[in-house]
Amino acid sequence: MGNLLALLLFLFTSSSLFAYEGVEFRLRPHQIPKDYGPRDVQAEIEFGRNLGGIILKRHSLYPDRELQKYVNLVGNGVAELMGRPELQYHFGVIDTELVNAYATPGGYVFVSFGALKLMENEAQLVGVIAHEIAHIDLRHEVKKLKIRALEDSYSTEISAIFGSTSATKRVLFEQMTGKAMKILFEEGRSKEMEVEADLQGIRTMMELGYDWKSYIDYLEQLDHLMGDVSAEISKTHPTSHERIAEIEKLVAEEKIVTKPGKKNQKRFEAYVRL
Amino acid sequence: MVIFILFTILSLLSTSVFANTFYVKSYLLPVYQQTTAGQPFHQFRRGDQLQALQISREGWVQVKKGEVQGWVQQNRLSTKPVQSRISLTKRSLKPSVRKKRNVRVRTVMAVVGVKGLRDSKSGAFKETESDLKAIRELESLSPDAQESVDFILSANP
Repeated sequence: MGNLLALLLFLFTSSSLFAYEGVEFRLRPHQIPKDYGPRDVQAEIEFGRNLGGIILKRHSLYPDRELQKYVNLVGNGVAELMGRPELQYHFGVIDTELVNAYATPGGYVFVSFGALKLMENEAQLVGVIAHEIAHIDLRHEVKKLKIRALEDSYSTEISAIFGSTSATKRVLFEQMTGKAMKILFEEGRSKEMEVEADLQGIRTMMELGYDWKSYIDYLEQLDHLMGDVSAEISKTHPTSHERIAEIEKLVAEEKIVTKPGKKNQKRFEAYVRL
Repeated sequence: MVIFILFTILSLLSTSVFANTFYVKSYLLPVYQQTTAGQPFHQFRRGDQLQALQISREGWVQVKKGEVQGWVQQNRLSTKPVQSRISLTKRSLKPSVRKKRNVRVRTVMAVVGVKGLRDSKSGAFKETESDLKAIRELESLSPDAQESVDFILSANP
């Protein structure tokens, strides 16, 4: 009788646990990540905002208000539909010929004027922005730097740094900012993070009806530039060759229909006056 | 009899633990008749609470809200209520460190300890002040949500 009960119990619980495929219901309690609460998000925004200010100290905003407005419309359009709902995203074109884009935690995205010059249409801009939004959505820096609002262990968390009066904590804050700057400007993120952001970016492009192949074209352009030692291109990303291979694998695996999407080239050219 | 009672209790428990409620994360969520997309016949809005009827392997969820029933993309749904938007744009940027604070021995020791953990190549502490004016200017550029959604969904070849 006991065995029968145990068997029934096992069958019942296992079937309900696997009722919803692909959803976090399947995770065991110790595997479920602790939620990020409003205070964690607040710490994240404060950290990312400060980091964004440091980037703007290094590279000022490109002095073309219409262009800034255009990039904000595109960026916010993507973010409102695909980004994290608790974040207000901000987008800026920075005045540098260096070809790169940066995302800081909390919703701050920067695209260099050099990168815009390399682009041919709006689909490529959407691809780059969706890639950067993915870094924020997937909390790549938040996880790496352990940005949480925990009060009990400030030696490894920045939580209590905000609003703190301690000089020690300020030093820790500066150290973390330094680490984040190093990731953004020198070392770059891991190949896995870049590929993960690429894949999410491609899915976003497809869902918004953009021509995702334009993003592949952009990556190929980057590859050409990387081969040119004189080109002003940031070396913080893995080679485009590796990234394109991963995207093509995703397209094959998910049986993505390769119908042509929109490029919005004329609108892009109207705003990005070179 | 015992089995029946146990089964009933477990059934009740399972429906409460594995609730099939989803919340809309994105500003707008198009609803389709089939999982092959095509033209949406309805749109849900951020925060809407939906009842999930079934989940496909391809990342689609069949949902119902009131009279409306259709398929939506799973990645735009959350199993938890959507957090309200958090904004710090009116707050100060810098961590509020009191000026002219007396530096105690304990603080100095802690700073030394932190410096000791630093990468040998990173050298002295870098200037990490933010450009507060520029970040505020950037924040002032944010357009209206509806305007930006309309903009991104429009085709302009």
